[in-house]
Amino acid sequence: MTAGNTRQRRFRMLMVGLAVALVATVLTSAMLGAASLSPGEVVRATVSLFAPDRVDAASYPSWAPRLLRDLRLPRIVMALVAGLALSTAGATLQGVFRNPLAEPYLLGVSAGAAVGATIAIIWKPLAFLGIFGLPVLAFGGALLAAFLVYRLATFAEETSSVSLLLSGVAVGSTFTAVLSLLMVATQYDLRTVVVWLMGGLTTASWTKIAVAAPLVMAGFVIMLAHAPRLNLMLMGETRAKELGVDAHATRRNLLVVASLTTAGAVAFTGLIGFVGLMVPHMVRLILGPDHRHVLPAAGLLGALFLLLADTLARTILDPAEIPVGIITAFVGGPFFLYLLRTRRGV
Amino acid sequence: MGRALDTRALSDAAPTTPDDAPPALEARGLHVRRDGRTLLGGIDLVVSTGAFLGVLGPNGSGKTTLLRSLTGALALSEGEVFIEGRPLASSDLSYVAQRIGIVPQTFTLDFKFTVREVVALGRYPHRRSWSGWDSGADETVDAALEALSITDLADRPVTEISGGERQRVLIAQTLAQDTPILMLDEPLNNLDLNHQLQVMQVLARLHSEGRTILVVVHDINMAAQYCADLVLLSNGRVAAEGTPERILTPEVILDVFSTRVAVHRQGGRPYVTPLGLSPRRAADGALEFRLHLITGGGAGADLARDLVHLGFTPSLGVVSVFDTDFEVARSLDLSVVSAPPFQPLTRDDVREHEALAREADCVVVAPQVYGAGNLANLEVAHAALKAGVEVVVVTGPPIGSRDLTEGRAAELERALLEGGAVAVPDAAGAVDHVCVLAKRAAARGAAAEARPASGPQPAPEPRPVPGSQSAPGPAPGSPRSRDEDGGT
Repeated sequence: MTAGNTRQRRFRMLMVGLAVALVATVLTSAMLGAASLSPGEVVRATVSLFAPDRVDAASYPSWAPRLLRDLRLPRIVMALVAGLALSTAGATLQGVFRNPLAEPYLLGVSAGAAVGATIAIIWKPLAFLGIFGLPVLAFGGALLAAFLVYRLATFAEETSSVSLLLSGVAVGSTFTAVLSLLMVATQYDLRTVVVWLMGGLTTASWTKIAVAAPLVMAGFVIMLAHAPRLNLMLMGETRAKELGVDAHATRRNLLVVASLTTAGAVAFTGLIGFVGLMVPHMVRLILGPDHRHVLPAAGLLGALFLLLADTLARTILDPAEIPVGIITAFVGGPFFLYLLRTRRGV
Repeated sequence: MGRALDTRALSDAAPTTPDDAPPALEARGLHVRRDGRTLLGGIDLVVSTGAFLGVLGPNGSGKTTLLRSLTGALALSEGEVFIEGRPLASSDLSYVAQRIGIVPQTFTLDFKFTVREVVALGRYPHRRSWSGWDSGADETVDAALEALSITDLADRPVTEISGGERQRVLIAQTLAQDTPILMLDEPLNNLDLNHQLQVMQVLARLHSEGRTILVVVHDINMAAQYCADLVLLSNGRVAAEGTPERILTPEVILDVFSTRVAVHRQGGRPYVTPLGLSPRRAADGALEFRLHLITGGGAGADLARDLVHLGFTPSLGVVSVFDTDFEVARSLDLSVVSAPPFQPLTRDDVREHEALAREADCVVVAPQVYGAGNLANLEVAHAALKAGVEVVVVTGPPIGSRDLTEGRAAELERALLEGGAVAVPDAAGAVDHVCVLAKRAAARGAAAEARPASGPQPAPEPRPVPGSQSAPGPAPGSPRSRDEDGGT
């Protein structure tokens, strides 16, 4: 009772805190760049995009609205969408595999999505799908990888960390090899592809967001709907069934949905690793493992985290830019090792 | 345990039972086969509403398999299960979860839920909304925590409690599920004695509320004490079912568990004491060999125990009530000629004793202290010897130190030995000798059976008798070697 209430209160406080931090970070991120703006200029220039008559045109640089509309804001929103997608996919996979080391990137699900996306880019007959070809094929690839890893890593309902990581490495490398082969064989612009693979938000656009965001949000809503069942799944599928959960369907749905959000992110931002590992873990440290709390909080924290990382990525070596995947891997790698060493009881 | 389980919170699902209502659970012709092995070989079982049924059986007899197939967790090869008259196969999981609560043997949970959160997960089948459970959830969870005495642990992470505590959390989770039928698979595992009793008492209370309980228990006595009915499984079949009084007999247990036991009554319920080795490993011929032990004052207690562990069933005489030997005989479920303490033996006692001794294949005289009261014991040995019974006398410690009859006992013992009784130095020697005799008798019996029409058989060569150096062993074909069943 008391602990439940404490956790409930903590959840609310964390959500409010994250929302405030998110607004502040969005504002800061919009200010920073090759040409910096003040907070007021950002707000006024943004408002002018919707209602040019309401703000004094002299109160912000004339190039600011276009800069925000075409470059900074799409990039910020894409970071939010991808961060939410990857961290909630991570939290979900961890629940399904009952293992805190599960993560789309480490399990090869991201690589599967990348192969699908690459096929969509380079295979001309698919051009009729337009921009939707990318997420559709990425989804297919992610799905294939997710179920492969599940089959390989899970014996008699138990998923040991070793078998999980090994299966993830195996599936991931296989898909990466396919990816490399595709690129070499098709003479695709290698530099673009490599940068994309490292994970980047440079090419973010409203069109891409219009495709990715609904996918990710739909996946997120389905995950939330499954949260109570996912809690029971943590005790094993047999026990979940004894308590009335259709464990097979739940597992299948969640693998599909995690693949969907992963694909939504990977198709447009490339391979960004470790977000799905770190964010859910931090959230569980604060809120405990109840997925009804973990999923929303991980969504917000993931969005915040990736936006911070991307803001860092494009400002730290200004005017050069680092792929954001490098930043997340730089933080995530050591974090992963730490988790590997201290893994009991998350 | 503090206050009783809150029946207000937990009684919603307790069933009302019209007489014509279908049984809580019914299994018809359950067969489960895996990889060519038959795990369940045709089980028919009716668990009536409000029953408290214990499932017993040796390891691998199919107890857990039965439980799992009754809940649909295991696919049946043949047969059908009905829950309250509805076929299980066509019932959906959430309906089953509202009717049957299951306590599995173990569960794994590596995520840091608090104990209370884990118990509250048991409310899942009754949830009304995404975020919450039904309105009675908190009281039900409280009552379940209270019933298992884990209220103090409520806020502790479930990953940081002991195995026994986890076991109780699991039971509490199932109580929170609040189902009219409960099935428990060895719920006493990992629990110390007081918590075992606590769990059984919680079950008894749930039973008294009208719930149907099916529990797999390893401890026969725990089952006998609490369960109203028992089912004994053996090799995937029902070997016996009925009240503990009816089915917990030494014969049935020998049959199912291959273990010799004594069954007493304790508080009106049977209480089973294992007597040691299964007959499969008993000394050759021990089961049929009629053995009588003349003892008193505790002189033959160890000997009696050793013999019982080898599969013998000696009778004892004449033993005073309150004597150590008397207690041992009772605890081993042996027949005994007893006499009131501190009084000389009466003529009737002696007659009864003598009759028992003459009936035996072998009489062993334990090294007792002889006084006027029990001198008749030696005379009984004499009578048996004269009747042709093998008599084995344990001679150490020396008779001189045990004779309070001014030499009369020593004289009688000497007469016994001269008359052909075998002297052995100690209990171990006596056991060895008895084993040899029993084996020989068994061999003779088998030979007689194999050649029933061929007339008298020569007695087999006797083997050297261990521990009998102090006196000559019985000569082959001597008049004292009894061959009643051998046909000499």
